[in-house]
Amino acid sequence: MTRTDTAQPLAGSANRRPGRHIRLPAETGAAVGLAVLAGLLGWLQPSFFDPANLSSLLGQAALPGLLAIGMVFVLTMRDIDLSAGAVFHLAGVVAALLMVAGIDPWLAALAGILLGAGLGLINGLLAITLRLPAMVVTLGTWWMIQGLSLAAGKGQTIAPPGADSGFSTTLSGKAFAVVPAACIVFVALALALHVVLHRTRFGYRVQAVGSNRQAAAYAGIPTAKVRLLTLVLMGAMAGLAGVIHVGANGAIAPGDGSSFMLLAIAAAIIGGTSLSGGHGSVVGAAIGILLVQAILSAMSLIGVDAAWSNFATGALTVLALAVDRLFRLWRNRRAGHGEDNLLG
Amino acid sequence: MAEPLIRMQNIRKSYGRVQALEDANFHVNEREIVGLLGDNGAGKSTLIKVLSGAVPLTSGDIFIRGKKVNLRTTSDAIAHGIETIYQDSALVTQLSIARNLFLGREPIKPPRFLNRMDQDAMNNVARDLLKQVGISKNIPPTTPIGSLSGGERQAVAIARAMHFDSDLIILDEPTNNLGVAETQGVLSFVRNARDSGHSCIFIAHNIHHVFQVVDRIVVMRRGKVVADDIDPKKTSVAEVERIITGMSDKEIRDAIADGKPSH
Repeated sequence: MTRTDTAQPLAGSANRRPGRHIRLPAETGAAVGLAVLAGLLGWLQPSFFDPANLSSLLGQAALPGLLAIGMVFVLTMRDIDLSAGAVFHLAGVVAALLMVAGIDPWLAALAGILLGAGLGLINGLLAITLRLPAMVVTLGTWWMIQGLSLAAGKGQTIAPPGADSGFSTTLSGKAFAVVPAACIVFVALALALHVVLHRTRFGYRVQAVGSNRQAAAYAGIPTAKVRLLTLVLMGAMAGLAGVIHVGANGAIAPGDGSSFMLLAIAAAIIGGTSLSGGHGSVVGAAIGILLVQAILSAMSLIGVDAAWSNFATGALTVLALAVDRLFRLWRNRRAGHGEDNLLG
Repeated sequence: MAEPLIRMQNIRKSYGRVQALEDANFHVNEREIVGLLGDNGAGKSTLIKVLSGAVPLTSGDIFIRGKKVNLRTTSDAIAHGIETIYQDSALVTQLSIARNLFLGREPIKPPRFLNRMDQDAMNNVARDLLKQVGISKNIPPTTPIGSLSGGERQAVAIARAMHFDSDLIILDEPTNNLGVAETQGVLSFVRNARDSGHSCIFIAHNIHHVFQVVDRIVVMRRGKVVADDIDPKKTSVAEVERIITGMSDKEIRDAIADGKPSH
């Protein structure tokens, strides 16, 4: 403490009674939704809880889930990365091509992740130097990266040799015969990055920049560096998901991961990450992606036409946005003041 | 005469063809509250942004206690003990009081490479500061800034500057949109900052608020400092208003020399 020695009562600052506010975690809605849905599905369709179905659900959730984790950071910073799905695919294609060329699969995988991070770096540098929202920049790079993917893979499925290599057997393996390796990576990273977002200086600065970029800059936070690191993290997560996809499936086809970007955004929003920036939940996004995949799995089990799956995912996202918006309006009105610029 | 805390000399700032500052000279002494006045577009904000490192100057020199400094970023200014509290951009409303107090200067727990914030240290300091600034006792430091009143937010922002021992606190419209009682609270807080060794630059459109708290008034017009030694005890509000709106240099000199009683 320094020269602040004198107590000076602030006029106009009335003593408040201790509040009885119960602050529910942001991920509560998604968690309750998942529990209710799982209960309902288990009751309607007992085969939902079959180990094979659960394993398949976890496996399907893990890869878009990795993208959702990165997207939470980007959304919290009040940006959005539309190129994440294309980065996923290009990283997978390049890693697979390197494996085909005889490079050690682990090294090829590392190259894929670094490529993802590098593409995130390019997105970040473009957004910062052109002073554009990441959404605008990544709209362009999305098409470019997708074009690169098609050109590199010549529009064909790439299946690297060595399905019995350590890389493939590790990533296509299952713990306790149910939990896919990709899911273990996903859960471990979700927990680690949840801590990063809420306990580290970097995570705190991401929230500060997303909440009020001007105030963060005036307080001396290097906002450009924070944006850059966040987009690099997003790219690295997409790259990691791409190489895990190659390892787990033994191949990558042209259409793989085409829905991942939207799934990632949907999962993050459903999990309580605010589109208006400043707040995000990695655990919420993990629950969100499980919820989305559970709905898709349920629709498949019940026999609903697969064409309706996109509609269901979109409807769930709109519902989550509406609930988030209404909750904020209600909270602000109840508080009597505060920010009302929810999507600004 | 002792070297002032801050001296800005021949400051020019242009945005393309627009000359926002034209050879502006400005100084702040130790333990002094300076009121910076001027009409819209007079150059007050640009001068403050140059001093706080938010915009680079085109030419000119800035001295801190006689030593020339280069303030290229807000971090540079903060490192040199200059803290700016902007009207709407001082605090991050979604973050807690404790986190806002340490915005940009978050303490890290060892081992440092893990980058973990020391939340307990932040909360403890925040709790002490809240008591000192007179904000109601029942508010925990984890409360979001968004749930505080306008005056309380200003108090938190000023407390932050004082806690980090800033030599100069720049207040941009700190009494805007505040009620009478809250305005008085903020003004007394500014006096308290001066009495505990800090200098302040006070910018406000409400001249009456400026007169209540400052030691000296500086007026800017069309990018220049046109009067920099107005004593609020000897000059009337009406005269300062005339200076702001455009008296000739001779008229300004006469008005200041007359030493008419204030308001």
